[in-house]
Amino acid sequence: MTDEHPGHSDRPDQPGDPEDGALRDALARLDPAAALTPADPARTARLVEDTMAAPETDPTHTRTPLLAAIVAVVVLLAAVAGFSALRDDTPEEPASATGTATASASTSASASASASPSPEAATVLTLPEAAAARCPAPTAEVLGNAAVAVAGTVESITDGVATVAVDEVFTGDPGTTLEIQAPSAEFRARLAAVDLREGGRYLLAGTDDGRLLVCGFSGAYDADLLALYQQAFPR
Amino acid sequence: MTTREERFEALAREVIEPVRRFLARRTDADTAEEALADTLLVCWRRLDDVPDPPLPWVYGVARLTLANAERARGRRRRLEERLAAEPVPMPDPDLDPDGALASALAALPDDQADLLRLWAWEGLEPRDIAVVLGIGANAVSQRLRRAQQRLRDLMAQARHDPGPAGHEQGERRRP
Repeated sequence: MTDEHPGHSDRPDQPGDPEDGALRDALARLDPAAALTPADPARTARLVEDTMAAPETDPTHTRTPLLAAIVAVVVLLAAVAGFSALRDDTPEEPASATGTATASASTSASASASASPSPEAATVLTLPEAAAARCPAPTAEVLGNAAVAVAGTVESITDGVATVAVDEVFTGDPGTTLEIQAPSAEFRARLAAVDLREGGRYLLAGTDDGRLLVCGFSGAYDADLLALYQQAFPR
Repeated sequence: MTTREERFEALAREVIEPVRRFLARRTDADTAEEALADTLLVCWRRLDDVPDPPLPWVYGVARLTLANAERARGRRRRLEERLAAEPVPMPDPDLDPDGALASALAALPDDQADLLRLWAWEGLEPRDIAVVLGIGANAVSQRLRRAQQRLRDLMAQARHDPGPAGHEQGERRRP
């Protein structure tokens, strides 16, 4: 590593021109931090501790909690509209006009029995915060409260987003594509709860606030989980 | 203690003091403190991306963090207030008796002055400056040579023609 303090003679690729060395030394003497005393070790230690107390979120997503919250709200609105529609047996309404990918996450009265998803943009579900990911027993009764429940195949996992091609809808109207989002740094660990892999087929359920149900409610497509879905969403 | 925490603590031990100096050279104490904390946070979150050696990469993070912090806090307004309130700390006048070098550095375009500061104050070579700035090492070498030449030209010009115009920046920095 290059030495922090300039003006030393042992730089490995010091330009050969002695004038450059003289110029560099002259500039180094103008260093405004030359008189800066070292930081207080106790304060530095506290700074390091405080830093490590922060969530290990990917920096490219440092501002996404707000975005995720907006997404969750949009999906929530869509889901609430959907539940209302189901209960009231009223006609389909657009969930929102925000123009985001989730704006099309509207639900329709007929969606719960639909086996051919509507050709809309992706519905977004976010993986829950670890602290919030408590696990109720995976019963059909609990699963029946899900706003969205589908079977689908993971087409890709990129930048903290798993894109799922929906091939069967148990409830809700997620469109043809479902996106499972999570901050990158936490994504692998969170996905491990569901073990999403490219090419795999899964049964996935989301809550009415746009969060993926984990803890045994979402997982690889198999006979046991399919039975739970069929029990929760009888045709 | 996890391995990740141990790795971060080792990184922090290596980079905190240099980055603190890097920031102190370029902004006020409050912004420097804030930017140092933000820089460490990025390092913590992107620990797996930190290369070896880490320092040029971390300088690059600090540089962007500082730019964000200063944009957010209205750098120009605060800088003007600071200049009005107190002189910018200057090194011992004996080290630059006629002020020609400080004046010339202040008169350079920002990108050229940045290169020279990284080269002389952080003591970085072109290959490391390239990491800080996210550009190629050859481009850095060429630009650095041009900046050095421009600095020499400005100094020669100031010494040859020490009129008010030639010292405009220097006069501002030395109220």
